[in-house]
Amino acid sequence: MKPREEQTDRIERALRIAHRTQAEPEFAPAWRQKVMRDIRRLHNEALDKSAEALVFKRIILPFASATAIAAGVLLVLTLNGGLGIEYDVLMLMVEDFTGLFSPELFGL
Amino acid sequence: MNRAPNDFADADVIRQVLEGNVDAFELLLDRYQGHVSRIVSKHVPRDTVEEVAHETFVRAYQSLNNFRASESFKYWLSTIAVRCCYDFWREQYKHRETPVSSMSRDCQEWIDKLLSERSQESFAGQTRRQEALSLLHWALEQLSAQDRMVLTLTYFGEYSVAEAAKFLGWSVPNVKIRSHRAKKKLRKVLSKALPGDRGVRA
Repeated sequence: MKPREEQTDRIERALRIAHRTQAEPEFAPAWRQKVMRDIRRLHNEALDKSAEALVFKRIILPFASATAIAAGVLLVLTLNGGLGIEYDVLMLMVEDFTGLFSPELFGL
Repeated sequence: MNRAPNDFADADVIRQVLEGNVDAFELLLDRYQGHVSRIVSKHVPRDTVEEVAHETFVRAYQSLNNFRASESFKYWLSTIAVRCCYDFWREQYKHRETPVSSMSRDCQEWIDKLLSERSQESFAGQTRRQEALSLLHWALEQLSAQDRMVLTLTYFGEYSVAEAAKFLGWSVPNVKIRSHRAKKKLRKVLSKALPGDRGVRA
């Protein structure tokens, strides 16, 4: 019987050869189609996302900005001219200390 | 004059894909499916090679923007393939619930035959048997995902430590140390498989 070290060496050497010489598997023809299908799906998803981003950038973002600016201008005009319900509510709130609790009257 | 698809260099094909001609990716698939299959089959079980190779190409497509034309596409793809194999094992080990099985009787018989072979020819014949690969898988199964990757790349595979480090994204000293320790662990596992010191499966 050979010493254990030598036996382990022999097995190790055989496993290295077995690993290096193992046959490579051939892919089924459907494999390639499956990969390409996934690649096309990813491509289409990316296109959809960029279309969504374009809509957001070109339409939603400018519209939201314009609306926010208009609302701001309207608020300034309202408060400045002492007009509208917003002005009355604000005055009610800031006139004295008890006014701070007035939002509760509105259910806030 | 129109060029045949095979006349396009990898960089040209990649440029076409990035410009939106996604079908051009099929050329890369044609060129490198054998190469990827070769790498992947050395690291993962045979029945999962297709799945991991699939993942490799999908990841390559998703990262195509990061590919630099100055480097070799083949090498870049090899890195992705190795990392997909590594991820496969990390995932497998994470979900591994059953303990490592003991060595099969076929493997034990194979070891006995191998150790008793005298001629070089019959030794080589034994290495071509399926039991050799079964034993290898059994032995590697007892190592961690990192250890098995580093061993299959540097010790069983034909890559240098520097190449393995680049493939795995580790430092060279880390690969060296891990490879050394993994080799020792493997020897320990194999020495336990020697006649007289075995866990036998019923």
